[in-house]
Amino acid sequence: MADDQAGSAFRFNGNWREFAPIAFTNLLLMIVTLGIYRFWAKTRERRYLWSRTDFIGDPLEWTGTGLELFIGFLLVALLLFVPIIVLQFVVQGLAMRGQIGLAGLLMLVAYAGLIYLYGLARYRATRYRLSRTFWRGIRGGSDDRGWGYALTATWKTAVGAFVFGFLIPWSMTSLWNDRWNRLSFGNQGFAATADWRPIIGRFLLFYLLPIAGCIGGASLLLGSFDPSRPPNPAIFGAFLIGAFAVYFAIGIVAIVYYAAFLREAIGALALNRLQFAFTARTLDWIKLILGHIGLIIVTLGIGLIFIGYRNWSFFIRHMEASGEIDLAGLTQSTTEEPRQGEGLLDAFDVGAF
Amino acid sequence: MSEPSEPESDRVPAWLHDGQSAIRHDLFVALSGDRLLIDGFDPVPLDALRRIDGRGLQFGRGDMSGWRLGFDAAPPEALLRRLPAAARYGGPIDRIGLWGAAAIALCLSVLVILGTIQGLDLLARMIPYRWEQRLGDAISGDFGARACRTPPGQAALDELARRLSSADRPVRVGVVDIPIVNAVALPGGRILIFRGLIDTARSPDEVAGVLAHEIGHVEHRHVLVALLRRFGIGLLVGSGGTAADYGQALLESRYSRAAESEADASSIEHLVRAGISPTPTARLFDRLGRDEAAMPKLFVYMASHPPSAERRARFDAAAKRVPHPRPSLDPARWAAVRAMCGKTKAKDQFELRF
Ligand SMILES: [Zn+2]
Repeated sequence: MADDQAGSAFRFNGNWREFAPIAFTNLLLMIVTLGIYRFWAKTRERRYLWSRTDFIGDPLEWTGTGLELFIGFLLVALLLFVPIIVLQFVVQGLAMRGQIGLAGLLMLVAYAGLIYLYGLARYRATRYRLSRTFWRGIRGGSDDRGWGYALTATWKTAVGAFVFGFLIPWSMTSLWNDRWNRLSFGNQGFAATADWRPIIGRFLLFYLLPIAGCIGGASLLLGSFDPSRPPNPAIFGAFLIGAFAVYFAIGIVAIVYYAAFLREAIGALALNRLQFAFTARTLDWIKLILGHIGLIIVTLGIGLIFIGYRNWSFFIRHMEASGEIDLAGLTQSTTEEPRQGEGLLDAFDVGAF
Repeated sequence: MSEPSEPESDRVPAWLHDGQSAIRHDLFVALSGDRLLIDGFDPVPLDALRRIDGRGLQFGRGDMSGWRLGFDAAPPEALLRRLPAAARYGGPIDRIGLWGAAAIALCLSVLVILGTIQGLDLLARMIPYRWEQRLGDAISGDFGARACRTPPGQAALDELARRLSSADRPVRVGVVDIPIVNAVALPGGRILIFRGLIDTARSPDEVAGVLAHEIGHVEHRHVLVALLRRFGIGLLVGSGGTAADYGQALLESRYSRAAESEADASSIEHLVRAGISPTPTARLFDRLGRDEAAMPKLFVYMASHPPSAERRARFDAAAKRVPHPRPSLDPARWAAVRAMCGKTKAKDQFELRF
């Protein structure tokens, strides 16, 4: 296991036997506290994972606290969920009075607002995580609070969705650059120059799917259709398998595309004279996901508490960096430290990467 | 850098990140009273140090971000004893121990859930009825485009609602052109009767029984309590995962059965006081019960309403309390109510429970 990381600047040296007591006690405490402990659980998990991650021989350190995650959650509950519930009542009331047009307009505005908040959430979570990540006593962060980024994210997401989503690779890479160019580690800013052109080819595979699906479905119908005989249950089974195959194919194409996206995005990320790279290929991702599924099935679901560990170790084992770093020149970040955690992203329930 | 102090203990090798740059300083530290002497840096009071839960033995300072002092080899016992111990789970859990803390948290969680339910019920009853009426107006307006409004029919229903409700909880009744055998109570004393119920009813007394049941919901403020509960418990265990979701559904279902039973009791009281026979309502349950018999037992238990047979027996038992029943509406008024949604009888009826 040590060999495949031998040449890399990044190194993960945790092991699951060390992690298991943390995961199981976290689960116990979450159950008895109605889930409120999960903020402290996440912190404990990250403290372990970061401390077992070496960058050029020195470990990372996570300094975030459960309390700040909890406060972030409370703020979002108050500022996001309460207005959404009130809005639901208003829209319902308008619809009951026959004001369908006004209700629809209100829904549209709310939807745009949610896209804006989603952009803000993604940026804020990355900024928060950088500000709580220390390496050799130095942390990352940004003075940019992301209001402008979220506006950019809103229109680029909308544009990306135009023309059957052809511009999605462009919006994803360009938003990646917009995010990371606002962030820094110590006194040095990140530079991201991800390009959509190398990955558009794989994205076009999505458009081949419906064509392949139509041909497959049509040939199945033609081959089995015989008016003189009663419908055969085998045909129904074949259609079921066909529907399953469609979902499966969409999943595979998504992995093929996302693997390329992340390699391009991280490969185009630099910190001063340090160039990052990510080496996970489609097959590595498939192995990771099959491993997740197998683990969850074999352990009857308890394996879920190890998913975060497996994801992090996968991520670090495929991270690389080259170039040089001037230790004396890397001085402490002077950026403002955000006071609370990633509650907003939590609300959308997605990861930052 | 600072006036030299006499070290009490041996000098111990350590490393330091000063939090200013990424350079690592290899140096020696030694104890002096309640301070730690650090070569080339200011001494640090021992109580400013806190143990970092990282790899190896590391200490940080609350007042200096990124300042880290670490030992590659374990320092001698004399020094180690004076340094702060590690936290494991955080906060009070380390003091009580994991199992003790888990037991206490479990008891607290149960208390919080029970307390929230009681508190929300209390809160719902404290909210002024006028506020609830305004909320009801905001939600349902004037019942929308599907409302059936004819002055004689509306007058007959209003008259009936007045007979069945008490003065301090005025209700407003409307009929909507939806072909389901049902009626609902909305916040603020608004009651919607669906057209399917009026079409299915064999006498006005059946409609009166259902209306009285919904008035019971209004008087006990069940709608507001249910809204607050759904919202409050959702907030409380929203982060708890799937097990909590099941629990929530079960709690709400149990609550709902209690509320239905309470509304039935009110319904009977109102019918008796208005001199209307509860027997037709019992017969309505009987007819509904025949559909219910097709339902598996599990659904009957989980369903939000008490089984029809139970309800029918209750209304039947109350019949002897009304020795000389009067019809709830005279034939002319009943005809006016039946004509409210026009002549065309709604097609494809499907049933729900009220
Ligand atoms: Zn009811």
